Amino acid sequence: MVAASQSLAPAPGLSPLVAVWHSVTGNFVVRRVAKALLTIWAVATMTFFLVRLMPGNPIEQYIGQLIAQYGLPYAEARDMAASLFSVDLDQPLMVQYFGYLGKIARGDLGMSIKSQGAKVSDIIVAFLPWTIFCVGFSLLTSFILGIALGALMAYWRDSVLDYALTMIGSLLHSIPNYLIAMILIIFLGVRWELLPIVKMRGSMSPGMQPGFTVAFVMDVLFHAVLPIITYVVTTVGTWMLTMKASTTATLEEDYVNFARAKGLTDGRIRTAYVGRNAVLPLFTQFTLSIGFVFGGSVLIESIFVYRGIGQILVTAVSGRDYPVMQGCFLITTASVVFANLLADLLYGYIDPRVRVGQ
Amino acid sequence: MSGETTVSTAPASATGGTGVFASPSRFRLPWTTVVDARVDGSKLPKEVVLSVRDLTVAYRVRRGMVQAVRKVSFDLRRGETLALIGESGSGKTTLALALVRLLVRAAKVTDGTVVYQRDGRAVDVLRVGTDALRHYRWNECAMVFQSALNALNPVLRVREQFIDVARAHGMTNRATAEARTLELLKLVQLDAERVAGSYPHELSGGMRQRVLIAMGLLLDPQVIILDEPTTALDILTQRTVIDLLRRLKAERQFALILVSHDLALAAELADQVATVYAGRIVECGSVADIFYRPNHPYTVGLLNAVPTLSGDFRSLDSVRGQPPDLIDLPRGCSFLPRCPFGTSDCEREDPQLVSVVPGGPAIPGAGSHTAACFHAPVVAKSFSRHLQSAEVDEIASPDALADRGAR
Amino acid sequence: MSATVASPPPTPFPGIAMVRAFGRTLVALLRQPAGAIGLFGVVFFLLLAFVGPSFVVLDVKTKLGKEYQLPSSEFLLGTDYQGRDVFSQIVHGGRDIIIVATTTALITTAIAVSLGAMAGFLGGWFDTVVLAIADIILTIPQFPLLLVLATFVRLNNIVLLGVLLAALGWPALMRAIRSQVLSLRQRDYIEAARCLDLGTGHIVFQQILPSMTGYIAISFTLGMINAIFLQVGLIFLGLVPLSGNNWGVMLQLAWVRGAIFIKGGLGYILSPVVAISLLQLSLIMLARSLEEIFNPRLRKGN
Repeated sequence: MVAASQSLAPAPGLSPLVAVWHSVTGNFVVRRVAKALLTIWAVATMTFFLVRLMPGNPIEQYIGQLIAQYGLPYAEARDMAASLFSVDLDQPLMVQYFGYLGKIARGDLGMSIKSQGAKVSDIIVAFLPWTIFCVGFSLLTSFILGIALGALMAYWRDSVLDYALTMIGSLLHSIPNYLIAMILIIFLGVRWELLPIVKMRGSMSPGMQPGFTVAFVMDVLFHAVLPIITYVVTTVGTWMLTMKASTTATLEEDYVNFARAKGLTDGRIRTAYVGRNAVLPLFTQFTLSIGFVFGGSVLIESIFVYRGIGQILVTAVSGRDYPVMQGCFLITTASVVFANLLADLLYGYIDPRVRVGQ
Repeated sequence: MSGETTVSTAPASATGGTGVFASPSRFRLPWTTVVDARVDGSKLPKEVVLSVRDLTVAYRVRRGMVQAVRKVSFDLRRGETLALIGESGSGKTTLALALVRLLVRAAKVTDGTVVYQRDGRAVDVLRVGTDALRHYRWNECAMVFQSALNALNPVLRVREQFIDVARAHGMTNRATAEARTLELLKLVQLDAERVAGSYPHELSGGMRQRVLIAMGLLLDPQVIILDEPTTALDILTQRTVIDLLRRLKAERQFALILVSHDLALAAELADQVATVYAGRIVECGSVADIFYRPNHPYTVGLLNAVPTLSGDFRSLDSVRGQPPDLIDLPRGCSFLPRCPFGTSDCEREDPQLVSVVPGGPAIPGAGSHTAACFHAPVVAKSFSRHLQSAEVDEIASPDALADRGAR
Repeated sequence: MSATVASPPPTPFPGIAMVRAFGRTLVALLRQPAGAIGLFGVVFFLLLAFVGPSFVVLDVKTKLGKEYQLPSSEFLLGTDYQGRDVFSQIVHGGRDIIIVATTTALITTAIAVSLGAMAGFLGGWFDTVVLAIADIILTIPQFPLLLVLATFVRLNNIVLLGVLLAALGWPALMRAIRSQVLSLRQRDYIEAARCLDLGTGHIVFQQILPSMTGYIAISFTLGMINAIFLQVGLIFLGLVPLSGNNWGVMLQLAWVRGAIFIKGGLGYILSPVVAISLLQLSLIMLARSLEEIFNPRLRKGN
């Protein structure tokens, strides 16, 4: 009697293998996870071939550099390069490629050129959490603030609050985030000296012991507050405006009016009937904004001198430290893909219409 | 099917029976005015549950004011079924929405009273406060929307939506609410467990309509309003729903207002039929009166527009023309442009509802047959001649219409 | 399906029709406050960047002792770290940025429209492949990708920078065009054109696309906004060895040389910030007004 599950049943007569295939690919979770893995694989492949095939091949360049600088024989230079870039240069390209993939799967991302002896994976592990914390905290705050304000604007349509927030939202949305970061530093830090920005550099104060102490948490927040404000200020406008439009549209739906006909309380209608349905369209935007904010961390962290993976990537790029660059880029993308996957799965949980196989 | 089981009545809600009849709260903010909506119930006959007088609804659009409902009056008695029949845009849905005050923001009730009576106590629904209104809705009067996908919240399971209603009206025990939900779903002949755990998009149109009807019965209201209950459904499902409604009516004795354009539906279920045109009731009478002795040209037109399945093939006479512009209504009868009986008298004045039987009551309701036409007797005679002519042997008798629906 | 075949929209002299449509859009834009402001802003910056240099000479003389002067009658926006006039730099600095932005937007629109229309119309494996590539590009964070690509490609050429930015920007517009084409495919006049065997190219470019010009105009503007955002960011990080002077280079030099800490340096650092912000604001207001015009759903109250 329940209509939807019938669509997944294979036509009689097909082999059981096809049936298994259908039930696997029909499953929402499996499809999303597969798509995520595919993207990460595509990025890894792209970086590999970029490094190896582009003119001005970094590996060859590095070997030449070693020979010129240290007078090493070619074979030794080649071995060093091979270990640093974590590829085996003797093998044909495709074998190198699979070796590279295998190493990545095991977590071996090579060694840094600039910082001798440092494993790329170690560098990333040291700095990635700070970025994830900063970006994650900002996204969450921005989202919640945005949908709250957006809903408010929808309920109080055409009021002074509505106009004011619309204008502010559009304004903040158009100015690039790094410019806002600069403005914050210039005015709050230098001109009016409201904040000790020099002390706010870095992700934590020197000498502070990491741990779940109040002092540590406060210190971390102290250092992260400016980047967080920048991220929130530049993204909250989108949420506000989209949520306002979405809520306005949802308020006109039949089931909302019917809920009032049934005598439900205003509070219940606002949350479970309007709110939950209005938030749904925002999720696609949420996945886009994860990538945007994470990507923007490159600039924001450089401006605020916040020691996160974004800043490491910039340093690696300027210093032509290819293994670190490769690894950072891969991990950054993987983080975004993973976050998108979580958001997708969450969406599937919230909107039951999506769970059915398409 | 075990649809015949007697169902317990709704557990008394915490607000008890005083909900909509509660006296206005003594606490109020200094700048608000409190209106006592209670009405002297002694003037109303005991059986009348809903008494509407001069209800007028208008809403503003850029071009002007749309007169959606114009001075509608009727009496609804306990256990009676009133069908409001009209084409789209006639104002019948607006009228129904006005009875529970669910109009869009732009629309306003500019005149009239809607008096609701129970156990000797009466209130004017149009003037009750928001709290009392919330208790009134669904508890005393349930308006069931059309069963399009959008009537139910797409992200909540059916069970949760029932429990929402129960909780909003004082039924705080979740287990009791769940049990009652299953009971009601069985009553409307659905697979209770399965449907309760489903989402709205997983149900077919007929199933959803039955879920909505079950939801309407949750609190044992005295009045149920059904908006186009069979419109979106196929013939077979329509039959199921109609039979279900007939049975429930007999068992529960609620008063029912059916809003539809489908005459066959009225023939099946209604005791009283009112035809609605351009925001007004143009004729109202018992089912037999309307189908055998129509007195208004519009009613005749509607009857003639139903094609016969039996008898000789004859050309379809639908009502020619378009409904009038509700912003710019003519001074005279609004049906005149489409009326085969119109004369110059009809231009000068808009006919009011008068009793067809000389000396009879002029308010639509049981025991009256009223029509808003200056030429009502002419129309009636012309129709009875039409009935007697050879071509039409079984035209438009209520049973014949009902049979047509079944085949 | 209707019994009568609706005739395809007539295009006798496409040029005249386009000019007329352009004129109507302009008038509609000017009627809205946001649209008028946006349009004037964009025109102002275009004039500033392309006509301004003819009137204001770029100050390249190092003036010792006049570094980091506050704005005065002599130096309208102050001086930089070498005593050069900031105002002249601002006037000359918009050209590169706007050219890159326009190039990017043009290439992006061209790629997105072609691929989107083809993918939507042809379907099949072509559609699947294009969609998969678009998805992957959309998922990868743009800025880090640009950084990585910038190390392999020497970005000393304006057009090259434009191409690189366009390579990242086409997926978003392509998907929108594709979905629009998919929905239009069902319409009667398209079916008629197919029955008459008018050819894929003709159908796509002369039947479907004309109804989407509004949307394309909006995407063009948004593309410019994104391109400005990305290129200034890249320049700021020092990854674009563009010679010459533009607002992004001004930003970078000011930041690297610590102009924010010097009292007189405020003019130097804030001028490009304000210029870029105002340009972006004008573009966004323009885009939003265009959306109001071409998207009647947004209009309040029917």
